[in-house]
Amino acid sequence: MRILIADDDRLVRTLLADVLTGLGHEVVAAADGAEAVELSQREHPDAVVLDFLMPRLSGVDALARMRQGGRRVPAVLLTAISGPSVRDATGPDAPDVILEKPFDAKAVARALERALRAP
Amino acid sequence: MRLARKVLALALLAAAVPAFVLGVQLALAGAPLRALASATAALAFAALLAAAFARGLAGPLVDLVRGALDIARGRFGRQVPLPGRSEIGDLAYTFNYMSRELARQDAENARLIRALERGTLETVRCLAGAIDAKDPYTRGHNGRVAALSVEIGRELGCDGATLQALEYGGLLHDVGKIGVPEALLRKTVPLTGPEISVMRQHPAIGADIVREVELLRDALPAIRSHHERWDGGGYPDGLMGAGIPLVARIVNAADTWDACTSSRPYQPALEPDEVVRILGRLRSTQIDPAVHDALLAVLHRRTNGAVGERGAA
Repeated sequence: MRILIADDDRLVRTLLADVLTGLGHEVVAAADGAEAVELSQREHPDAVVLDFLMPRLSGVDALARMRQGGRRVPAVLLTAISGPSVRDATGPDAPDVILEKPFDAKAVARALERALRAP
Repeated sequence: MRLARKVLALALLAAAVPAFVLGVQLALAGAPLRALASATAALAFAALLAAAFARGLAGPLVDLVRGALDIARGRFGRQVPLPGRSEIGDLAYTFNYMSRELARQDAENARLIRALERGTLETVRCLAGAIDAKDPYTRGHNGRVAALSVEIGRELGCDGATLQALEYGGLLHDVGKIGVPEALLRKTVPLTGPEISVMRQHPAIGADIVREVELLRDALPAIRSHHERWDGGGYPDGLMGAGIPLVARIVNAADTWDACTSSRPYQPALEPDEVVRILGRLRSTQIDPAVHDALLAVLHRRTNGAVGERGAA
């Protein structure tokens, strides 16, 4: 599967790419929200893993743009702040799964699976 | 530290009840001293715990208040220390993100404004170039008048908006010449009476041309009134002294200097020393004395600068 990842922290991008490639996925990476939207329009990923607070465009705003026109985009939102605060803040553009940082490889795999299974 | 006082009061109140129960039981058991010591120890422990907790709670909030005030003052990008993982930590983390994003958007806006200003100046220069094309003898004149007007304005301590008006006004002061027949502009012999009155319409024509342009509103007086005289003998409105807008008085002086030092159909360029003498005679008759003096100061600085550059070469 093709997965789009977006995080302004290079370390997180590398880690995510390693984990997802290890799971047999193809990975495209963006360093901020605006770049993530551009990449998603070009690469049509099967799922996205987005950081919440990124420069230029937050993960939630980026996701809202990717889902414009009713497109189904399975999404995991990464966040350094606590999940409940984020869930309250995201409203109708809610991602399928919210994953709190720091996370490990297993947590990423589980979160992605749940996002793909979500209706 | 109102929050700290509240937490302290709450903790003491919560500790007082078990301390009281414990004290009563020990007193009834016949150990009044131990009862007092235990109750005091319980309250002291509660107070210490509450103080530490309150400090951990209030400290980061004080940092956040300072940060918010800095942002309100336009110091975008200000970061506060992260107090660790809690809702307050989340608030500090989000605050820092907001601050960085504001700084980025602010820089982006500043860049857009600069681009817009550059675009405007280019458009104004383009318009000024249209006059140059019509009247080849004045080629470069508008640009030089604009530059000199800005320098005089700076010498007089004018603010940024006025300097901008001087730049646009200097570039466009003769824009009304678009409405004057070329035959008149290129004439080498003295103009006849009717020709003079046609020529003298150019400041009013110029003002009419730019009247609807909001961005040139401040430059408008410089265009309409740059042929007014300090003694009231100018045109088109016969304004006098301080009744003539300052930007117009400045462009008038810069225009006079440039007209005398460059060659025209009706006269060759004059030597700077001679022009300075002419300007002296025009001081208080045509030219505002304060503007005249500022112009001389600018010319003096220019000459010294030029000598310095030659000396260095």
